[in-house]
Amino acid sequence: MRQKETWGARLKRESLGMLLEIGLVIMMMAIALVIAVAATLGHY
Amino acid sequence: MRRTRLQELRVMAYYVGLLVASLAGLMMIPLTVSLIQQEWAVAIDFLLSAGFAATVGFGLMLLSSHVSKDLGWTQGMVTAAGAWLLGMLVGSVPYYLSGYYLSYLDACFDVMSGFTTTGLTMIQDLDHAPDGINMWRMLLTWLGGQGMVVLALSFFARGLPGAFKLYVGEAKDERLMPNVIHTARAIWYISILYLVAGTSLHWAGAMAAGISPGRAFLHGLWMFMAGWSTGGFAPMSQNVVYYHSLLFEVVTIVFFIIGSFNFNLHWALWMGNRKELFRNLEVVTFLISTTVLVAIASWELAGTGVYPTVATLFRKGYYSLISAHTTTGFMTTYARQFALEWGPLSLTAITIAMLFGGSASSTAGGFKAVRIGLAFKAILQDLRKLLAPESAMVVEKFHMTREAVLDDRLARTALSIIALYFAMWGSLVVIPSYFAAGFGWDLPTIMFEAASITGNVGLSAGLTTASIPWVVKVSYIAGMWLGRLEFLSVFVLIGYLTRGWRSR
Repeated sequence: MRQKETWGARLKRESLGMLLEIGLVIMMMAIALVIAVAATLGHY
Repeated sequence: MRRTRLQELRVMAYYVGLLVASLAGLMMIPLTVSLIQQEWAVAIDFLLSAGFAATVGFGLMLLSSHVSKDLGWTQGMVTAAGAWLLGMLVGSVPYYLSGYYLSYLDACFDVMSGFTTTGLTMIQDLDHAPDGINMWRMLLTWLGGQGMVVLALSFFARGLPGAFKLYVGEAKDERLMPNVIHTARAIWYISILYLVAGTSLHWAGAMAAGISPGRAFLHGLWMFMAGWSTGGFAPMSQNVVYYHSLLFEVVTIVFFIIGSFNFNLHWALWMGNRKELFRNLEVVTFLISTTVLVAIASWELAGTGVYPTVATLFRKGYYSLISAHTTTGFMTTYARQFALEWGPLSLTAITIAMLFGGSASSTAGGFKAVRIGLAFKAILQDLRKLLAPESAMVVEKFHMTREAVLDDRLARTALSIIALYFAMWGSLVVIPSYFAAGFGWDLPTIMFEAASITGNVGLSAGLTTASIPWVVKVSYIAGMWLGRLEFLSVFVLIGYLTRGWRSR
């Protein structure tokens, strides 16, 4: 029989999912910053 | 047993009535805000509007109280499309009564813009608008992001037999769980948890921008609701420019990008499937398209000297482009700056971004990343077939929470929807063009605004105001409605009304 998940484990699992999504967005912003630096320096 | 047309109409009226009655219940939220803020006139407007919505909603439900509630596919589609229209007509009553709109059509435009998470507005004197009205604007956007049908299924319907057909009629087909009611509730579970986290961060960001804690909470709540739903409404006419804060801008970016992700992706990650993040076709497509479009726009914007520093390029150029790509419509520039300052390359990049849009089964609009990915894979498959020996079988696979094989039917559906979006964009360029000379609109402005409507984005190059001809307003309302429901259910509604009932 499947064991019931505790509230703590559920909170950890869902928070980690949320953090992964936030991490992906931060990575996208970092890529944009690199592009902005390259574009700005490229025109000097 | 085959039902008569009258019986069918009664069942559809029941479901439409349920959705309209839900709106009456929801009006209690802005009513409460108005009472707390002592906006008595607005509170009376909401009381009257809720009474009207309840009368219409329950009246329609009473009409079909003795009929079986099962829906066919056609009726499910007609009901979903019809509910959005009637919802617009009823939801705009408090706007119209408030006196902040010049006409009932303008009020309808704003409700459709909210429901469809577009974000273009025709409100007058927004900076002095009552909190109750702002609450209603943001609430409509937030609910529209998740879907009105999803809302009604989650909280007001219990085991109704037509649930799944209504859900599909609202352009959603993902099932996070085997049961559609549970799926609808899972969507709300995700949204409400993000509401708590997002509002807290926006609240902190608004306080850091110098707003008093009480007002900052309302601004935080509203900006989260508008951002998460990729709506783009803001409580101030200057939109995000009002806050003058890099921190606040970054917080908004985080939540509107996450809001543009597929609910299936949220669910998969929340269930512990971490690999999904980089295997998912939509995430990969979105990453590639944003990187390419940002690079193109940045190169020109930096080169022409419009945004000469890295900071301005990020805060104005990147922000606008990612706001467009996620179909949010938050703005860190003034509307006319797109038309006057951005060059042809960057304007083309942002127009393409608006048309591409976010993920399927998310709060975002546009073609959707999955269709772009599938179209690309279909072209790749055809190329491989040409290069391979005649007897070879070429199989193209893709990953969307599970591995799937790209077949002709999937490719055809994706390409048809993209073609329909293009056709609609073309129509929305042609209609305002008729009035262009009188209003001084140039073609790039009209094309930009048409892409914004088509993708349910909400960025404006300055065309959308209350003074535009009613024909353009009606075409924009239709465009937002069609774009959000992804054509099918609206076409079925039109077919049903014009050709009568067709048996399936």
